[in-house]
Amino acid sequence: MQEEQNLVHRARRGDHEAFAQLYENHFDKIYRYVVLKIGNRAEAEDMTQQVFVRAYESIGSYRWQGIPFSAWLFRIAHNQMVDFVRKASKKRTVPFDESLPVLSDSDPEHEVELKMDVEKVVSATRQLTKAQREVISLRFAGGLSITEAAKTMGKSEGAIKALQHSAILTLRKTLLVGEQGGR
Amino acid sequence: MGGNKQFNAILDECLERLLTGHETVEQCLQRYPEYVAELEPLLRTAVMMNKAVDVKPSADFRARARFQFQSVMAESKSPGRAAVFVPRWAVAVCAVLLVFVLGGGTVVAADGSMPGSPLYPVKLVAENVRVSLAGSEEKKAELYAAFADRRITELDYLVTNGKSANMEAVAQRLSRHYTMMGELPLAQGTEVVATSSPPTPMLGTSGISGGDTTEQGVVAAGNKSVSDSSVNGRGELKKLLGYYAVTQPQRLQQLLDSNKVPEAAKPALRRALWASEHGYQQVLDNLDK
Repeated sequence: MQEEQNLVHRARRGDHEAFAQLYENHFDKIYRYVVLKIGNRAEAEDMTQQVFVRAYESIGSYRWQGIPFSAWLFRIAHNQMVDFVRKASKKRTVPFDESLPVLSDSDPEHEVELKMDVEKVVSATRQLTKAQREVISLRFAGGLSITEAAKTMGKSEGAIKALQHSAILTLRKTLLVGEQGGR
Repeated sequence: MGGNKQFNAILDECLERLLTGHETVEQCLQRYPEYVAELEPLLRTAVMMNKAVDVKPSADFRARARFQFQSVMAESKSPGRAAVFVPRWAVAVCAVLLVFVLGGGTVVAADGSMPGSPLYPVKLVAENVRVSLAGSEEKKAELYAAFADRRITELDYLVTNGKSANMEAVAQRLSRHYTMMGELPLAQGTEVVATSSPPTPMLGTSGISGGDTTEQGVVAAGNKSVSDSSVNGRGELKKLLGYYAVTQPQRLQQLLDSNKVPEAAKPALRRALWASEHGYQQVLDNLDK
């Protein structure tokens, strides 16, 4: 945490290397978060880049006052996502992308199995409320702690825990129905 | 309710250990045998989800993104430069010095300068001073929008006159105007400082769209929207920003669609186009709150 605080401090003073380090530290998490929210790889790639360009342009306005840098970064991502979804809903529906993101496991059989899971999970999260979906995306894809997720969403830790519980419950039901329907 | 709270806390504790690889589902269940029936299906679902969302960006995208981001950093002198806090008194002192050292006429002349001209930096400093001394957030929004219009006119001028060297820097500056505008805290209840009549935003000065793109023509049109611009109340401001929200992205799109823009400058222009749509959406949303 202290190290990140130093990096942010240096980045605000114009240190490109410090910002590049923050970029490397958070790139994968932001990408995963965006993939889970959008479900479309090409859009997720563009969006991930935009999040960092935006963060770079706005770093001067960031103050370390109880809000971790990651929470600030995910807020930017969330705001861009809201904007994206609003625009997408005006133009067209956002289909789930069949070309899936590269998975961390290189075993091809495992990839097929996981591919099913990603599709299912993205589709199942569409059954959640906005807040539930946000919690799941921040916790599982973004890797944020309850405290960080609470700061990002501006809610209490208790509220985030309750949302997490109800979200997993709903996802389980949705995934089970899908499983039975698929047989 | 209390029981639910306790269960939520247990679930989260187990999840934390599971997600960080410190514990298995079985180990967690052993610690809370009284909750096995309720806990187990949730933890198994969480493990499955965690595996499913463990996606990584492709090596190709990672490399491309890193390169593009480094280019963005290289283009600008420092991150968030425009957003760094400067005390208002310091800005006022600078403004006075600017007028005394350069003379009021120089500042006025600089107002009409184009990128690449020796007076252009003076124009940018004068703009920063005006934003810093703006009496309200609404006034700042108006100024950012007007300065954005200037930047587009400058881009248009650069394209039309084949001076592509400064295009990326201008497009970057344009994106920053939109970012700053979108982040203004425009809470309901603050009144716009009223001055004179509503502005007449310029249209059709774009070289691409067939207007006058000589330096004088562009300057005259490009600066009118700033010097005349002052709005009375949030309604007027919304009308003005709504207008810019349509015309500025259109003008940027026209630039992008033209075959005069060099390839190297297109990414910065695309980012500016995206920033314009996003910035206006945000500022208009904020005004509605």
